[in-house]
Amino acid sequence: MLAFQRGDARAFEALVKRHRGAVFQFLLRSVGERGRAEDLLQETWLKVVRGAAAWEPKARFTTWVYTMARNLCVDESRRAALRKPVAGAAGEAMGEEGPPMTERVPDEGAAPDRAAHNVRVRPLLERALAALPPEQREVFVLREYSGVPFKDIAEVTGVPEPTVKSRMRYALEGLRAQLAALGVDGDMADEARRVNG
Amino acid sequence: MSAAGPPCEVPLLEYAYGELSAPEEAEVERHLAGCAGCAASLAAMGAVRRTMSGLGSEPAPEAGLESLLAYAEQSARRASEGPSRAPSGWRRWMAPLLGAGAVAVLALVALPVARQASVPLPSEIASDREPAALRQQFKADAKAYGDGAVGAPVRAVEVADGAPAPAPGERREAAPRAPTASASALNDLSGDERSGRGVAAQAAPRSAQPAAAGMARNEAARVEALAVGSLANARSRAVAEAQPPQSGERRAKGFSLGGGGPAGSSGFAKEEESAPVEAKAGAAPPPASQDEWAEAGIVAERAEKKKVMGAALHLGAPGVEAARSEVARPGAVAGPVAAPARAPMESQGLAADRVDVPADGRLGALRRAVDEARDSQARRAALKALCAAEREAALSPAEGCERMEREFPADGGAGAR
Repeated sequence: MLAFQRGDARAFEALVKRHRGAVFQFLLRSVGERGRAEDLLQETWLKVVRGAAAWEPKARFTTWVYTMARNLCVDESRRAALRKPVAGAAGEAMGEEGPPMTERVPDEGAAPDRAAHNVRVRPLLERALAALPPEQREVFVLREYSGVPFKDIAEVTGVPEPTVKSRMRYALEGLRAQLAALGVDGDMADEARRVNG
Repeated sequence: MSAAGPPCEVPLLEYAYGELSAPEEAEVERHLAGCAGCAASLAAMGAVRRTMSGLGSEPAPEAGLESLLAYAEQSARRASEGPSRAPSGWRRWMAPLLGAGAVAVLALVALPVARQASVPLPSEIASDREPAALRQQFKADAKAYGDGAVGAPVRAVEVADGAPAPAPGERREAAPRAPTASASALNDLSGDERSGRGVAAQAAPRSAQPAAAGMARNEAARVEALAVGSLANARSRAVAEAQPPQSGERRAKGFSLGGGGPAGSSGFAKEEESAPVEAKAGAAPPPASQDEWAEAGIVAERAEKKKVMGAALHLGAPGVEAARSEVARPGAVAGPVAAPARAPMESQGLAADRVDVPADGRLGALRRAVDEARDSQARRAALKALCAAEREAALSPAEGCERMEREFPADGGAGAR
């Protein structure tokens, strides 16, 4: 990031290649809709470019990027709440009112086996994820899908690290209970891993 | 796995996500080897993570990546160039002021140019306005005349209105002549009132045509011009008497502009009941082209029925054309000084037109003009015109020609030929 501040565009490109996918995972799992997640992704990185001059080395770049992404998710959830009563996952994740994320069915997938898996398992998994409290879900998403360490999650969410770890433990326990309630057993999980793997 | 964590103080969560150092991991592994509860919790944690990994990792979209990198490159270029210097206070204020000044200067330069470009030339104004103005003028005149005494037909105005728009060249010719005709009528109006005459004037072509038989062209033209001018005088005066003038110009009008064709222009004439016709004009074939029918004339189609005689002269081209060559000279026809009825033809102003009137009426008017001629010159001219008209009408015997030969044997009626 320092190189980019000095005018090295390639440094920024390297940052984008390194973090763009992970940021997208966080946005996608947070808002639960690919289109909105893509828009937020672009907006997040534009904010990074615009705010590069104000970035200070004392802050971790990862924390900085996810903080902006999370703030965009919060704003998006508020706009979604204004557009229609049915709020998105972001609003739910950030403490907004709205239907649970489990009611949304994603449409990703292209291959036949993946499509079949999407039809059978993915909605259940997403429903289980959406069933988590927003503060637990964001911690779980940041750690599980985006690979953000607990320490950085604490900075992103603005809560102490032990709180983040506690939320993570509750999130894991809640997912286990949800998956069991939804009938997702180990075989389905293995199938899911095999399909996606 | 318990939300409250394993009873053991082992960082299983950090161990599961690999956030422990190697020594810490080794310590956790040693603990797990001897603690079934912690091992079960770690296994349950692992099972949930494996299940949720079924969601997979969605690839980030490629859309927008290039534009993002381009934007970042531009931003990096600006950053490498250093921070842009903010304009100082006076520069912030001067920029809009200079812009406004430039616009004002441009407007000051462009507006006069545009105004000059949009203003027509005087010649264009004259050619554009005069026909319409004269048409209005003649309309009013014809109305005044028609309402005044004789109820003369407004044929001239109708024809003038219905006539096709003349070509630019025609308009430039016709426009200056219309005032000429009016001016001549105005001059005639101040002439001898006792010689009121019915008049028919007729436009004449300007182009040269073969001479009429028996008389030199110029001589014939003089005769015609004299006759027409005198008759116009009478007509104008009669109009003035029948209709009190409402304006200085209006009372003198007796002409209308034509231009449509051989029968395109006509005028009105009014005559006192006892007023003799003084002159006549020779007949001649129609003009060569419609362009030459440019001047107004005076017609009285129903004059005899209404005690107000309008005589129409069916003037031909050769004689009248020659007359116009003299009469239509700007210097000769635009004289503002009032001229008597028999003033030289140069001051008379001639407006002539071909009119369609019955031959009897025209010949009668010419005969009266002969009878009323007060001197030998006018009588000779009137006789020549009468003779020409008789020859055109193929009358036999031709009374006018006979009288011409009898009274002016030297001419021999040549003027009528």
